[in-house]
Amino acid sequence: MEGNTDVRIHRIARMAAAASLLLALLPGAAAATEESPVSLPRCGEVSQATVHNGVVVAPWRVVLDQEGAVTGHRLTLRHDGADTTLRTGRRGFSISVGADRVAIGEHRGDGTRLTMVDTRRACRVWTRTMERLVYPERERVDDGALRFTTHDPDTRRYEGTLLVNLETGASDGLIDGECIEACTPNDGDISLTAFEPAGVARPTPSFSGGGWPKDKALPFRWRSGGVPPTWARPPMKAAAADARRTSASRSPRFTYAADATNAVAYTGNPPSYCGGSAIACAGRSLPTYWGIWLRPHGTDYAWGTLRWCQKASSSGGCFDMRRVMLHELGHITGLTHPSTAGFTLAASDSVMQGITPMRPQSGSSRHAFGRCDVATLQELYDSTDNKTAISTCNDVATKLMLTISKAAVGRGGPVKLTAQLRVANWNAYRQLAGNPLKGRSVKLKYRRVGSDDWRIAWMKSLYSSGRYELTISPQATWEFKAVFPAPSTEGLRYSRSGIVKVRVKS
Amino acid sequence: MSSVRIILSSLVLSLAVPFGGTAAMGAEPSASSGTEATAPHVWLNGPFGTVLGADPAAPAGAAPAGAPLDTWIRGAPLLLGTELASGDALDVSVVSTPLDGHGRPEQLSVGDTEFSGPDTTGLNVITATVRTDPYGTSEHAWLVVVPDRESDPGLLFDIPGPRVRLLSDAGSVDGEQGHGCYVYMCREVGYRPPETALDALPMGAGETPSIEIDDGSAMVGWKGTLEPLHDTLIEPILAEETFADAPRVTTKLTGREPTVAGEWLLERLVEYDRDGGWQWFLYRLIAE
Repeated sequence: MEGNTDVRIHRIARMAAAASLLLALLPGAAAATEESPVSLPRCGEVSQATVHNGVVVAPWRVVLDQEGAVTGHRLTLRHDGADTTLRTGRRGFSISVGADRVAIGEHRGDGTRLTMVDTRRACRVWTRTMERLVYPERERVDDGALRFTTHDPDTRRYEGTLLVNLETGASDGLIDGECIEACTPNDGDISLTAFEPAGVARPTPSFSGGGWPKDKALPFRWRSGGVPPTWARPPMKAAAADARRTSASRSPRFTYAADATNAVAYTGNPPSYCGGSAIACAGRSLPTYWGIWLRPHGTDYAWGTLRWCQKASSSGGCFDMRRVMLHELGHITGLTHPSTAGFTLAASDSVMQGITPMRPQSGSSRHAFGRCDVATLQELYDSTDNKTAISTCNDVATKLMLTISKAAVGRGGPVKLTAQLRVANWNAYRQLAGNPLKGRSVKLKYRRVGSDDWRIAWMKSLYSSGRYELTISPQATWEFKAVFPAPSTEGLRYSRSGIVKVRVKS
Repeated sequence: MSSVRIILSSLVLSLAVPFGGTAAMGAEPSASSGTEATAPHVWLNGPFGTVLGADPAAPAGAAPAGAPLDTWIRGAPLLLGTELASGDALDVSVVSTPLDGHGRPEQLSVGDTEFSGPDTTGLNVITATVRTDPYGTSEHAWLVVVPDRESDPGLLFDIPGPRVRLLSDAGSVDGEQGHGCYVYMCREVGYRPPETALDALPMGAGETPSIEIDDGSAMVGWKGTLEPLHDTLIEPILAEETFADAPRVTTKLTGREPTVAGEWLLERLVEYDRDGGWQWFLYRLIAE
């Protein structure tokens, strides 16, 4: 229930303003001393004799400004009549660890600082800074380690799940994935190529077990007794086309067909679970059946009256039926709400948010799957073809191999160099695993033997199998390697081949 | 690397498990060992969620608190899943045996992991015999109850979500449903209702409220916010708790009590066991 944000913010703003005024008027209401967790003494420097009894850790509190915006967080340790209040900025978080430990984190522009605090002794066990954005996982503590998801600070791409040792703060390893190189010791410098990202907990999550067969045609009809009015049918059909047009994957194809089994209803009598405050619902029973229900324009709720924009006479204060229908088709396809996995995504990243934006809110008229929706759909159903861009909400490792037609030739003799570019063949990538990548830019780097002066040529993408070729006429012995630079327009990682040598016989 | 662990759900057979999270390994009793000491985990998915199999000698052990699993309709669509990699050989045979002595055993599947559940109404034991290359043969069982409802997949969408009650010493109140997904269905809401439209639960200031699921399912975690509606000096209290290893039907919200008298609003996300889904709820409290 995250709805009616405007109302809530205004109320909080009023509360915060009043609180500020009252605090200013109260005699002796001086602000308590607050300090950053890292300013606590190191536990090694604190005598055991300073152990406090009767420690109370007050709840983690959000601090709001007068406009109702979050400015920071506070945690107060109360012991022996003294308070120690720890504070963070607005991007702080805390994790309770057993009875006498709390980990306090803070995100910065380019990373995360994490401090483990001993609440009984009011000291810090360790502090470390990581060059990634890390977020606590739902099951946060696991076998002596804290669990985090890691994300690239610039793109926010999900990278994997990190284990941080409770006692030392060192990275113990990565789960959900497979380290290619040793993960320990690793003091937070997580190499992008060091692990395989998970196939779960995507920003737009999917239901476990996946979905329908690839390219499955899922026609729908209007449900008897719930046939939409004339004005509602075009946006519903348009949403089906939107799902097809914007999935960049082999997800199901939705089309209207009067004789279909699956049905879409416009009805005031939806299934039980769709009653009450719901404005729309989707249901599926794989592998045979699905349905969607939309409540009628003018349905009265405790919050007001449902108005569909396609029917409403004004342009604001209504829900876009085409957008809502696309969201429901996303459920049928296999997507859930990002908030399930703790993600809050931008309007351009997903149409699967649990709270439907109302016009003119951002994303209220979006008629395309967002990039994080597409990332999940591509893993569930495969990309449309080998040339289709991999969503930038993903972070997919690639493999590049370089072969030569001849290892030794006469001067000027032609040699064909062939590079093969693929998605790494890892289970985590599900349907994308091992796919050839066609139409990308692959560099050929070459140098004379013993030189560090690499020169560059570009290879030609020739085949759907992800092969790139270049034929050369060498006048001397050269070394070659193929390089795939990470493109900014796709969620693909850099890779390079091994070095091969073409010897020119004298 | 020492701590690398592959999440088993990424290796399951490509089953089409309907709405739900990842398979909750360990959230249910262990599978029977059959003839092998290291039998694979085998779970059954249907209108009751996803549940690991039990020993055929005690099939009720598959369900929380031993309650039979409700198939909701006759011939419900069921899916059998294992932790095996997709390349591993798997041979399954599934039989349903009515417990009232009237019906005859029903062969539900030979070789197929997708099949229809029993048609015989009443209590039935579903027994799956699973033979795999790495594990050999093992048996897994589930106690189910088949209601006298038509065998119509469309009826699956009529499964109501559980009510999640908030309790105090003075009484209880059902939560107002927000968005969420439950078994086969997902629901969207527009706005949340005004606080005045919510039934209020009276309680004492400082009293610890409890929450309870009313349909026999359980929760594996919750998170939420408790905030005062009118008191301008008190900040919202954010909290969450997980207990995936021991799902609970009811739990105390210790440490999240309304600290002073007045009206409070509680928003909670409940995650159900058996991969049943998750749901937001909204409550109004009046602390006195």
